[in-house]
Amino acid sequence: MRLPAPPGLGLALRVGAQAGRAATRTAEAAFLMALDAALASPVAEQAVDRVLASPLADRTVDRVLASPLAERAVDRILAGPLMDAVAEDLVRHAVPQRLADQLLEAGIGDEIAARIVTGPELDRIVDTTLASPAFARLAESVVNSPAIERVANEVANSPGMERVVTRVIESRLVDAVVRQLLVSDDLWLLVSEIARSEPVTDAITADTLGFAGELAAEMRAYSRGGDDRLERIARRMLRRGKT
Amino acid sequence: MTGLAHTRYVGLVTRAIAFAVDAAVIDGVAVLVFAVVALASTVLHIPDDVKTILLVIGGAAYILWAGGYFIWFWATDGRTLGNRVMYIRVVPANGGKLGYPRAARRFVGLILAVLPLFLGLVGILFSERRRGFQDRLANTVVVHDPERREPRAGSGRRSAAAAPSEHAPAS
Repeated sequence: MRLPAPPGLGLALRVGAQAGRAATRTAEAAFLMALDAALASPVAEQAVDRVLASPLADRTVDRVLASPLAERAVDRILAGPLMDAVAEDLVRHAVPQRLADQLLEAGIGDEIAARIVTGPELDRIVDTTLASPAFARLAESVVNSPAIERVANEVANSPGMERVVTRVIESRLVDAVVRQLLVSDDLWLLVSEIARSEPVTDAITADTLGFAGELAAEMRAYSRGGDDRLERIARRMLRRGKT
Repeated sequence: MTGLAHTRYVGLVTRAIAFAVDAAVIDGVAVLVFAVVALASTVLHIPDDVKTILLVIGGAAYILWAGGYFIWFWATDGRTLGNRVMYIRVVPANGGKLGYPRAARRFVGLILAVLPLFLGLVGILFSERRRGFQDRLANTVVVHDPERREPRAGSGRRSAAAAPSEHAPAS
């Protein structure tokens, strides 16, 4: 059995609800005002400093960094559009150039170069490079390139190279080297070996035969002319004898 | 003779030089052999009579060696060593092969031509094909080697045209 509602109850309820909502808004506004006041006060900064300086903050940071949450967060950051935006900003603001300039000004480049030159890494890099087929191909293409040949010709035919060679030849060093070579037994052993070598003996034989051939050719040419001249003389004498 | 229509015949000077080369080869070999035999005879005791016989044998061997040299080279190739140096060749006047009999006849003719103070060689100076007595006796001519004819050899009133391939020497 349902009791009949007393008159004015509904209105009272609506008024009460409105009054409650108004009180809530007022309380929220008052809370926010209090919070702003608290944050603006030096006490808040001191509180933050104390929290950050506390061992609890260190432990909390360590826990956060060691947690899977940190990994997932970093992963999401790297995979997300944030990194692209950061990269664009870096390029737009010329951050790498500025960073490189600052590193070079600070002498970091020199230190890196010195470290590379004096360290064992350079030897390993050079060995690996020299042993690679790519280096062999590169060297072959460089050696066989017309540009290298042109440069070599220009260098060899340049007045500067001629002056250098002249100075070297006129220097006392060459005289000393020649004197040392002339008194060296190894030199004469080398000369003897070269003189006995097959190509040299073949060349001497070929030259000798060539000279003999040239001599015989000259002799043949003169003899054929001599044939005609002798006959002319003989016939002239015969004619004179008849007359 | 038709095959030698455009051939340039070899004159006396060239033939004399070729003969001098041949003589040098023949005498050089003979002197070498004589030196070896003479050295051996100094070690061995050889009676005088045997030495005389050896000299006679040596003389005969020299004649045989000289004759064999010319006859063999002429018969086989038409060129002695001296002829090779001077690029000349002995060929039959009417073509064909020279052969040993004709080469022997030519050698005898050469001796006969030389004996009367070289009068047998005068024909080389005056005859149309520059033939000496030995050439007439053996019916041969001496021509410049067509395979080796040199470009400088252009003079010669007896050569109509120096065409190397016009004739092949009958060697």
